Amino acid sequence: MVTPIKGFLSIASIAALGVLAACGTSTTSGTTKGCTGSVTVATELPTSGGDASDGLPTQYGAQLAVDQANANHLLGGSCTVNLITKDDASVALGKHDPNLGAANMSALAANAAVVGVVGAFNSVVCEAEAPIANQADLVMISPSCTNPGITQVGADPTVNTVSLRPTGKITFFRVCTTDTEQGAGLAQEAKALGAMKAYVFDDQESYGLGLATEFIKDFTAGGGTVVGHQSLPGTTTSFTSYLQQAKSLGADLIFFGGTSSNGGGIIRQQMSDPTVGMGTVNFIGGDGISDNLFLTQAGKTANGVYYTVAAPFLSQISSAATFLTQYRASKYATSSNGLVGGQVYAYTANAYDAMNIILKAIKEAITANGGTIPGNPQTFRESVRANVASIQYSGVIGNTSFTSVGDTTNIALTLYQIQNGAAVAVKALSVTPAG
Amino acid sequence: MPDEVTGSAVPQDVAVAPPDDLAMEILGTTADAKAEETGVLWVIAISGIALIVCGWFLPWYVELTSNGIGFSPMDAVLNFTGIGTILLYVVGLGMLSLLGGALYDIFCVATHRGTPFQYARPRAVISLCGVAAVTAISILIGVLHEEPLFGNLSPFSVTDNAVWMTLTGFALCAFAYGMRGWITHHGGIAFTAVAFAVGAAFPMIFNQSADFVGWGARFAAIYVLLALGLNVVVGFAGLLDLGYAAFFAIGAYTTAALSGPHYGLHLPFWVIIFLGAAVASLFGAVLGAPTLRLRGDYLAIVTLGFGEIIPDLATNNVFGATGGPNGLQAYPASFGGFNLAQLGAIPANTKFYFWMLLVLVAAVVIALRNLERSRLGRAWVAIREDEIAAAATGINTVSTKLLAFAIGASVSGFAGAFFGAMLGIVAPENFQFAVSVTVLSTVVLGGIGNIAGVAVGAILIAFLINWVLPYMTEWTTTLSRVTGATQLAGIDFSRYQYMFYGLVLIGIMLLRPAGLLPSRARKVELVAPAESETESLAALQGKA
Amino acid sequence: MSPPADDAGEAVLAQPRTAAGLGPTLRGISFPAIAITILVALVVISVAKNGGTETGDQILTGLQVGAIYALIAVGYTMVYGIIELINFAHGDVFTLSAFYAITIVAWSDDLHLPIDGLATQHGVLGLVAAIVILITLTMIATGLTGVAIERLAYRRLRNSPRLAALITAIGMSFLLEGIMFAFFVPPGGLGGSYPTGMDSWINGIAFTVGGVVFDWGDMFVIVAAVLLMVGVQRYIQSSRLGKAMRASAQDRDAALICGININRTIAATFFIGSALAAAGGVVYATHYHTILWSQGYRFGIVAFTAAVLGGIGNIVGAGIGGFLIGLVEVFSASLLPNGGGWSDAIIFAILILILTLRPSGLLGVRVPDRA
Repeated sequence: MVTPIKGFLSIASIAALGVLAACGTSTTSGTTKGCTGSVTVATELPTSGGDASDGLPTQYGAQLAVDQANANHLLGGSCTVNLITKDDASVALGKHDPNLGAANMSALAANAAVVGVVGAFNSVVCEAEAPIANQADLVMISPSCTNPGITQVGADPTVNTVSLRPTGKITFFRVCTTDTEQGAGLAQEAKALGAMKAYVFDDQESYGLGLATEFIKDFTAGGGTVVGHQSLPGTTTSFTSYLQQAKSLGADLIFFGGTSSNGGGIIRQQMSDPTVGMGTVNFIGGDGISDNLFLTQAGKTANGVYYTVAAPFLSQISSAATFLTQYRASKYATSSNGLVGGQVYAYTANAYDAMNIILKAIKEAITANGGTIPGNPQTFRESVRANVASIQYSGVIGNTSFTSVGDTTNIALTLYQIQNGAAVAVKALSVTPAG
Repeated sequence: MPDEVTGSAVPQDVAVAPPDDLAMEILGTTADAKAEETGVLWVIAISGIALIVCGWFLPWYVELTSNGIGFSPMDAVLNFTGIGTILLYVVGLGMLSLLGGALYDIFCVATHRGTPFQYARPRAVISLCGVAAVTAISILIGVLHEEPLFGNLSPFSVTDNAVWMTLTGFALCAFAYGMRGWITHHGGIAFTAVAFAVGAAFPMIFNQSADFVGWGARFAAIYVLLALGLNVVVGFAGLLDLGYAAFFAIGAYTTAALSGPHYGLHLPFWVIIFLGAAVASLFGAVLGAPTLRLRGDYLAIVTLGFGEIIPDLATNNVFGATGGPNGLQAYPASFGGFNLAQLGAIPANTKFYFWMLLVLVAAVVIALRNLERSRLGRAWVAIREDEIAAAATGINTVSTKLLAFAIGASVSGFAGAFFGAMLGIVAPENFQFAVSVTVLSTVVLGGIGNIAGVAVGAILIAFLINWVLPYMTEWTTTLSRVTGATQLAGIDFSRYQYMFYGLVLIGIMLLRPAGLLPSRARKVELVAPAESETESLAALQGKA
Repeated sequence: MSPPADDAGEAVLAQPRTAAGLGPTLRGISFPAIAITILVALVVISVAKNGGTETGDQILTGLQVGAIYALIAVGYTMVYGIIELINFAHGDVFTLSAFYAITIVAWSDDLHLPIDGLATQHGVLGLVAAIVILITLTMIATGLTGVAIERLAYRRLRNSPRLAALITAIGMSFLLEGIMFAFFVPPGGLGGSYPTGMDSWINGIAFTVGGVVFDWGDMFVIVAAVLLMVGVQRYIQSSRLGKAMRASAQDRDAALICGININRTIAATFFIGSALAAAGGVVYATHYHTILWSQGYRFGIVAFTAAVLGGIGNIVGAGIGGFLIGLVEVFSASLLPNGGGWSDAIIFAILILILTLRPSGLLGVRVPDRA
């Protein structure tokens, strides 16, 4: 081996570190001979800054899946699974940064050992990363990117879906339903609650605005009126004046499209402010508020809130209960990042299943190669990708398989209500995919 | 200390009264042979040393990969294969003699014995020979593919990169040491030459790191463009601009609108870049107009206001043109059919983008340098120093200021156009106030008004944000594995990166408040702080 | 009629003036009067569109939101007046003070002298006592933090280019946010909102006037803010330290000659400014359910806008600017469709408009036009 020449010790500048890292990131692990090696998978999520409360619990789900795969020797022999975790929240923006996401995906793509990625979390980051993964034939499963335009041509006029997959192959998949379905389900439920006048909030971000737009479309199509619509930046802390306006307009439903990290729970809390006096009005949102953060923000007023999660009735799936027990017993639950009064954060379960899908696809590829890890990284990636595209997976969030463009076929929605500080599944919603 | 290699700019025998030092300093020319800029020297030297250190230590640090066992610098020197190895020995000898020379100089200075910095001409010759040797090796392998000469040294495996890094580092150190005198007197040219030479060779040096070149280096180049543009407004004209990201946004959105699916136009890339820059510069003038009567911090707050309004408009999808929070998709340009990624190597697409960016940066640097020395540049200096006096001498302050905004905005318009094309998506996230603040930090950190300085500042901060901070956790893990210090393994740096970044900014400003490479003019101003620019209302009132 | 020199000198940390003499005028019409007219017009439009009750509610909410902006803005303006630095870290000092308050309450519990017990279980007197104690302790802690920041980061750069100090302030803002992000981890996990635990202290409705609900919480915020600002203004006018501050702001060298200890004066300025932000933080914590580590950033920008709007260096102006911006924010939401999304843009548009017409802000001294 090489021994460093002692006389050349000197102070390294930041450039040095940068260069060091440059070569460091090309590190791959493991040889390509025999199943006595390891495969590498990765997560690419915003785990610091303003999105940490969304990205971290999601990452934990994927990490648990990898831990279990290693403990159970899923890949056979003594093959192990390595996990690389990437963070796309940059210091400059203080939250998810499409630049950094693209850089991370590029690093993962250039790393020959990586054969599958669970990520990204935010739709804009998914859009920046998809072409890079596509060109490197690297399969990418998102637990939460809901913009329909990423997979369906023409679903979003601002997205050129075709350019997101320049090679023509499908490398981007998602286990979450798109805004289209969830919005329709929410509108349906709003009508069932007897609401005729809705006042809509969204958090000015891709997921929230998309969901709100779909809801408004379906709610008005169903005969309701939307008396007001406010798109508020995530930094907003005072919603009282908007709620006062909603009250004077006679709103009987408050709809929130967005994530709790952008203030969903705060809106609910301020509805009970004496100057507002809307404490008894219904509040409904999407799976962006299905987390512990919402409970913290809303406090006692969280009770009575409805939200949908893109998964079927978990109590009807035995593996969900098992998963919950295992998750609680794992080191990830102690930080309480992923648990909502006993119920797992929706994206944790999504990431868990997404990672397991990738692992299953890897396992199939290894089996097809005679029980050893394929030597050529390119063929390995392609076989993993092909396996994911044709997979039938039964997991925590239900039975998942993918359409020809990468959307999930599992579009069951469940309605939850918060009762006594805990989330309770109320019923399953069935929505016809209007597209 | 007579230095044989360099001479002063002014012939010694001209019988004319020496011009006022202060004025000459400010105007950017120098009559003083002793005026030295050691900043550039240090930057080049430290970069060279860093590259050498990294190159030597790299094989020790990196796990040997499935890409094949490459050559480390040790291997390259020890495997004798003929001419190639002789060339490498020349380089090695050069390294040793440089080391000896440097140590001798340090010894002399430390103990005040002997005369350091002797034999300038031989030193320069040796160093240039060394640089020539490195260049020859690079061409032989990189262009002519004569690997066997060197025992199968190639540009394709990780540890081979170590050899390239060591060679480049040596070339830089040799250049810095041998041509010390020339560099200190022609800092700008030296920095430019080195930067572009190394920049052009970047994709070869880091052939295995597609993401480093693709994202680290390309984003550094974009930041450099932004810093250069802001430097025009803040550095040359002295107008504090806190909302610079607005022009960046305009350039990027223009590109996206013209090339993306929203309007279905699909204009060619070259046309889009210039259109983006033109639209941005138009907005520069428009947004600069309300600030004309304002001073100092009032101007800052108005620019901050525009910097907030523009992303707000974009998020709210004003006129249905900006795609809301989803942003617009820009059509990434492909060049001549090169559109495939080879696993591990840098896509040709990336290389072309990178080189185009380099060319653009070079063009902008040349243009700004000339602008700095033109009448307009001097008008900016005049306005910066004393606006009333400038107006009294007949300078049209309105058009001068508007031009500063417009030109600064056009540069960032270029940056925005490239940014949109590189990333493929243009979203409001990337143009928030935080970005304006970052660009301002790069300008101040690097040295306001100094083109080389702001470039260095931009490169430093870009790499810090996009490279160092995100990878800290990975490095400490590897370091703990290699050194056996297990405590390092568990630290999650992404939790502490804000603190770290803040400390870096504060630390650098406390240590070098004038910036890393302060411009000559600012240095002069620092000497006489009482008369320096104080554009705040209170000061003006005091002197009213 | 005071001579112009006095006008110029007193502009920084200005004296309160009578309504008639509120700053120079634009073609004979007092500019603040124009602002008042605009406000009245907004109110009238709002009443016509939304009804009196809602307008009343909106005004109350606007004043409450504006009160917090005002408290932060005064700190900004004081620091600016004396060392001409836009202290970007000030908004984060505000957020930090809320975390201090939460920590102090938690520690008091550990020491078996529970402040929250005092607040909730001992009637009105207990509540008042608890709040006074909490505000005092938090103000001291935050004031000291402000002094430390000045001493460590800004003092050395006093004679350096102003932009260096500005970047240092930005770096300090990152540092404070980083500390809050990394070390004050809420029960919901890293990066989430932190429950303050204090918002149940002050509750209940005080009275209702014509359908407009006046609750104790809102009134506390507004009254506390006004009292504190008036208190600080009087202190600056009448005390020795205040005089030293005004003198240092006007002409530092002359103040030095007069024997004023500049370092101590500046430190005191930072102390008072940070203490005011702390008051804002405590008031915020008792009114809102959660606090977020990154909140200071936006509050800082808006408060700085308020300070500039009122005439930078002018305490009364900063206060008024804060309330004005709060009202604008609220009215823009109610008078425009999706006004909430535009409120930031509107605030800045108004700012730009006012600065274009009157470059020195509402209450600032008018600078004669120069080329």
